[in-house]
Amino acid sequence: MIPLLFLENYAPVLKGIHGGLGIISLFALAFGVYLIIRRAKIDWSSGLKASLAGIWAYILTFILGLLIYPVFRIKVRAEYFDLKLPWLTGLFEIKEYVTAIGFFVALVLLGYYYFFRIGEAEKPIKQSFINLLFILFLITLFSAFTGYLLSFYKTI
Amino acid sequence: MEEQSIKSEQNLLTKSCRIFSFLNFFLMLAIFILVFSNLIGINLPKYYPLLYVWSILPLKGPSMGFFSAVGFAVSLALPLSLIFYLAAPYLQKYLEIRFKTFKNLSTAFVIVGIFYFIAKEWKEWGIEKTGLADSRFFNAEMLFFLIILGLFLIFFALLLILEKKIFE
Repeated sequence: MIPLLFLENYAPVLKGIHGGLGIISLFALAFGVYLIIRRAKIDWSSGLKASLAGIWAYILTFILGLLIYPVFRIKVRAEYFDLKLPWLTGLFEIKEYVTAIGFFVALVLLGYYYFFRIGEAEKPIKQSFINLLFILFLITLFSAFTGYLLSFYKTI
Repeated sequence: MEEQSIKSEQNLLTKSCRIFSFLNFFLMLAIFILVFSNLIGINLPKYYPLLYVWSILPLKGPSMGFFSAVGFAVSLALPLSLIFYLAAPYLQKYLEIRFKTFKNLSTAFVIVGIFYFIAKEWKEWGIEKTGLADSRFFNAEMLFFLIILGLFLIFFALLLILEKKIFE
């Protein structure tokens, strides 16, 4: 008899919010990167706002992912993926660590927003901001794809 | 709100330079600690969800080391970065830090960190545990290595194209 796990009763709801916020993050970051690449001044401003929403959504998604991880670890990974589909465990492990790196990137991007006026900042700040934002967008895209692939096979 | 500009080609240490280098130093250090602790297998506390306990000693049942790995990386990187921030004016005297270097280094750390985990985890779960490992030269591991190398180069090229498109 498996004891009740941490937040097990709330896990399906939290997982739904986790997925929803992940999608918001993905679209906001995609929109932000697109507008910033277009380079028009008005786009920069809107792009920065969209990106900020995407970064916050990413951080919340990451925290919710941590909260539902114990249930996923037992009910999905240990009971199913590890035994029958180890390559999916591999994908999950990659997603886990890559999103942790994305979390560090998101914290640094928030620091850029807080300390600098990115729109008017000098070239190194802008370049660094865009590099990290683009990487965060790719990480979110990969995580969303992996998350939905995992859910397709088994979910909490 | 900090408004001073970064003068990357000069040896002036503005507050912006310090903040910029502090943020990038934190990112590099956090990724380095995450990768290095995984690589050498530092024995951090693990959470045992079936037992509701944290333990450094191995216990029975599935365990989770991810929480500790992330917490360890952040909790070590943050104070060390603050020390770096405070020490930057002294370091600048002797090392003549070029602050533009931080931008390239932090991007490189992020990419290397990502590909380290892709290579490590897929080798274990996607090749070894699925029984694809064998002794031939052009085996699943070699193929995977080539795919990873290709992805790495594409990733890097995308970043360079992006930078070029925006700033030239």
